[in-house]
This record gives sequence, structure tokens and C-alpha cells, in this order.
Amino acid sequence: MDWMKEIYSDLVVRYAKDPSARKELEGAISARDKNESCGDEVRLFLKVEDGIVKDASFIGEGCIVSMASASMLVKLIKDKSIEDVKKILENVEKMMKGEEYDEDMLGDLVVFSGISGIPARSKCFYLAWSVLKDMLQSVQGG
Amino acid sequence: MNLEEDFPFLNRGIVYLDNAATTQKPNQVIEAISNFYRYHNANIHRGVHTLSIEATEMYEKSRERVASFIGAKSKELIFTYGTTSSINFLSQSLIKSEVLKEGSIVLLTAVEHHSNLLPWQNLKRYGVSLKFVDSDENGVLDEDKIINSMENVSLISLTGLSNVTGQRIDLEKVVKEAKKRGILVHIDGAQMVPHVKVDVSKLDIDFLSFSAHKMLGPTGIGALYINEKYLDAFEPFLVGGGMIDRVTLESSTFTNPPEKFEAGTPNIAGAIGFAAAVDYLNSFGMENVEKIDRELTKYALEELKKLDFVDIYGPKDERQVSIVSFNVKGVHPHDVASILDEEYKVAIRTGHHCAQPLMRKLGVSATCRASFYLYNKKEDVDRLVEGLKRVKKWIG
Ligand SMILES: Cc1ncc(COP(=O)(O)O)c(C=O)c1O
Repeated sequence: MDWMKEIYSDLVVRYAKDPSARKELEGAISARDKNESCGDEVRLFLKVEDGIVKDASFIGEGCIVSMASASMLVKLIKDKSIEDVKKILENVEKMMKGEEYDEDMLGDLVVFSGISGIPARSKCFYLAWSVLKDMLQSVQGG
Repeated sequence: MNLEEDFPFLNRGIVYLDNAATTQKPNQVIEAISNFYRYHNANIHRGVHTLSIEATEMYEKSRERVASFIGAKSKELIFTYGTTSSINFLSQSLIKSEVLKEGSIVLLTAVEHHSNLLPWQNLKRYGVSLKFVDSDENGVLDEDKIINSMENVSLISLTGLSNVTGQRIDLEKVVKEAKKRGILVHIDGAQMVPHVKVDVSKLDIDFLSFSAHKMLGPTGIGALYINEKYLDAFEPFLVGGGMIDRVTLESSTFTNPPEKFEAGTPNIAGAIGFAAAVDYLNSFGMENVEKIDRELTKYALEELKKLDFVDIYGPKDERQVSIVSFNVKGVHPHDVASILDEEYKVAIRTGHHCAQPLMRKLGVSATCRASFYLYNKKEDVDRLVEGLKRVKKWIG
């Protein structure tokens, strides 16, 4: 199966181990989620001003897939409007379900394009995104 | 007896080290089940036709064989759906029979599988309280600590062999002290019965639970041993067809044990498969099973100790049988298992192993677990070790 090579590619491992997105943000809103079955945990921090994500970061613990996905999320949503972030999230969900999606919106995250075929790992992949989804609901309207 | 022939999966080149979750099934077990369905299928008890008589006989013979495997009498062996249902049944029956009641204390340990924890938590609503013996930070239980916690306890429910650390508990020592104090003893034998010879007539325990699927048998069947002393006094856990003596619209009387405890059509084919599994283990020899398990565990511990990037949990000595839990430093267990599977065809289990309290004690959210059985070889351990080195290099 090729997906293994992709999931554990240098790119993914680099993202997973990249310390730059991993910190607490002071004065930011935050939320967390945990995958009880494997213990993976992500807390996301967002600073939203005038409907724009001014800064984002995360702290957490988990497998390469969950950590790389969170790290890519932070990179993808920084400086984007809430509207754009919602569109990104929609496309992430489409990719996860194996539906057509807009590759241009997802940047390096497309390395996970095969995730829909690996139900055992899609939970890991989606963990940070599920936190984001909850947070978007609470920042509704900026 | 030829392992390669009996276990066709071995020819797939997969190194199966997830035996604590469930074991593979030899042809003899699969044949016994399909033979029943093909030629002897009927419901048991009360039938006067040939097939029903055959099925009843096969079911009862299976009970005899499984019972004798643990040194019990036939009537002391109740078929259940597995260890989890055995412990639920037992705990509920102890309440209904008022053996446990408001104020009773049940003693457990911090390493128990959730299946030997939640059924007892359920009794809190009846005023039963739980007391726990803690392990050390490696998940190791100290028998003396168990003995020192026995004051005022009504029942001890204890694993015979930890499904996380592989620690075999010195039951003789614990049971002797419990009996001196008149304490009832239930052993969760899900991991112990498959790997070491158990004789309840010598061990002097009151109750024992185990599952067929962890000892070469099918899923969906297990057993609860209840010492004959209690059979008449204990209330059934399930009621309905198949366990009655006389029924009126308002009330009923029950038939004799063990049928009293087996309401409804049981898993007949499962019982037959279970008996075929114990037949296989008997002809292989439980002493040989234990020898292989111990050797592989010892070898795995030696080899893993050589890897400075691996943390091992549990006693790490001869107390450990058939199970080794570990982590690769800085690498999540899921990643370890994925790479081992994909690159080395090595199957291990990762996660909390239904023992979240113990994970907290170990200070981790999950571990990797390799577990052995009679068809495993030293080369399997070598492949695991080779795979771990690769994991370390790749993402460690
Ligand atoms: C120690 C222990 N107890 C109980 C169980 C539950 O067994 P089952 O799932 O067959 O009911 C297991 C199985 O994982 C176990 O290892």
C-alpha cells in the first residue's frame, strides 16, 4: 500500500515534529479534543480579529498523522478570513470522505489525500479539524 | 500435530503477536464447528428426535471437557458469552443472592481490565464499596500488598495474569490468605487460563472467568466456574426458556445447575468449538504451551532491553508470561504498529488495552503490546526487533 509511504513521508514527519506551531497563545481562544481510544489530544489556539485569523497554534500529543495534520492546519488557516477557513474545512471533510475537493485550498495537506481509504487513521487525521469546527461555531460572525 | 498444517494463516507470512486480544483457530476447531452445523444441528434439551439428542450430547460432552480442563466438575461450568459476560453475570448474581449487599467491600487491583472493573462499579448503587490495591509505577502488583488490604473484604476479584504487563500473580499465596479470612475469590482468567495450567480443585478459588477465543476457540463463548458449594443458593442471572422447572403465569421454579444459569438457546456450536480448542491444548500439552510462552517472553525481554530507545513496562523478569508491553521513546504507539504492520507484517496491539487506570499509573496514554502463543517462534521476536529499529530510524 502506497499510503504508508505517504503518511510516513519526510514531509509529514517534518510537519509532525516541527516545533514552530506548537505553543500556547496568550490572549487567544482555545479548545481541545481527545481521541479516547488512543489518547491523542489536541488543544488549538486562535486569535481572531475583524473576522481574520491573526494567529494560531496548537499543543498536543499523538501519532504522526494527528500531529502533522494539526501542524498543517495551523499553517493553512493563519491570516485567512473566517469565511475562507470554513471553506478549507469543507474541503478537508470532502477529502476525508473521498469526495471531490479543491486541492488548491489544502496545500501540503493533500499528502493525506488517501486518508479516506484508511478508516483506522482518519480519526487521527481529523482530530485537530474537529476542534477547529467546534471553535468556528463559537466565533460565528467574527 | 503440525502447526503449519493446523494453522493455515501461518502460510501468509504474517507474524501474529496479538494473541492477548484473540488467538488464531486451528483447523480442528473450525472443523468441529462446521461438522456440527453440517450434520448434527438442532436445538438442545427436550428434543426427542435424533438430531436434538445428538446436539444435546455434543453440548454436554463439551461442557465436561472444558470443565475437566480447569479441574472442575461439569455442573460447576456455566457457558457464557465470554469473560466480560461471566463477570457481569457473577456480580449480578452475588447481589441477587445477597452474598454481596449494602456495606460489603470488594477488593480489586489497579491493573484490572475494564471487564473486571465496571461490573463491580455497577454494584455501588447497591451500597457495595470498592477498594483497590495499587501497583508500582511499572504496573507491578505486590502480592503482600493484596494480602495486607484484605481486612473487612467480602470478595476479591483479581486477574490471574495481567493483560498489559503479563505479570502472573502468585495466586496460591493470595488465595491461601483470603481463605483464612473467609473471603470469596474470583479470578479473571481471560489471560491466565490460555497460558498456564489451572486446576481449580487445587487452587481453592470460588469463581473463575475465561474466554474461548483467547485459547484457540471461537468468539462468543466463554465460561464461568462456580464452586459447587454455591450452585444451589445462587440466583440465576438470566431467566427465560431452558432453565425452568415449573412455570405458571405468576411465578416459576428453576431447574438444576448448570442449566439454571443458562437461559435461552446457548451458543451450541461455540461450546463444541471451545471443547475442540481444549482438546487441542491438551494434546499439545499445557506445560509445553507455558514453556513456549515463557521462553518467547524471556527472549523478547532480553532483546528489547538491548534497545536503548525502548521503554518496557511490567516486572521484566520470570513473573512475566506471554505478554510484553513497551513504547518506542518519542514515537506514538499507533505509528509503531502501522510501520511494523506495513513493512514487516508484524501484528501488535496498541492503545490502552482496556486498562485506562493502569495507563495513568504508567504515565502514558497508550502502549505497544506483543503477546505470544504456541505457534510463535524466536524468529518472530527477531522480526519485531528489526522492525522497531526501523521505526526508530524512520521517525524516532
Ligand atoms: C484480563 C482480561 N479480562 C477480561 C477480558 C475480556 O474478555 P472478553 O472480551 O473475551 O469478554 C480480557 C480480554 O481482552 C482480558 O485480557
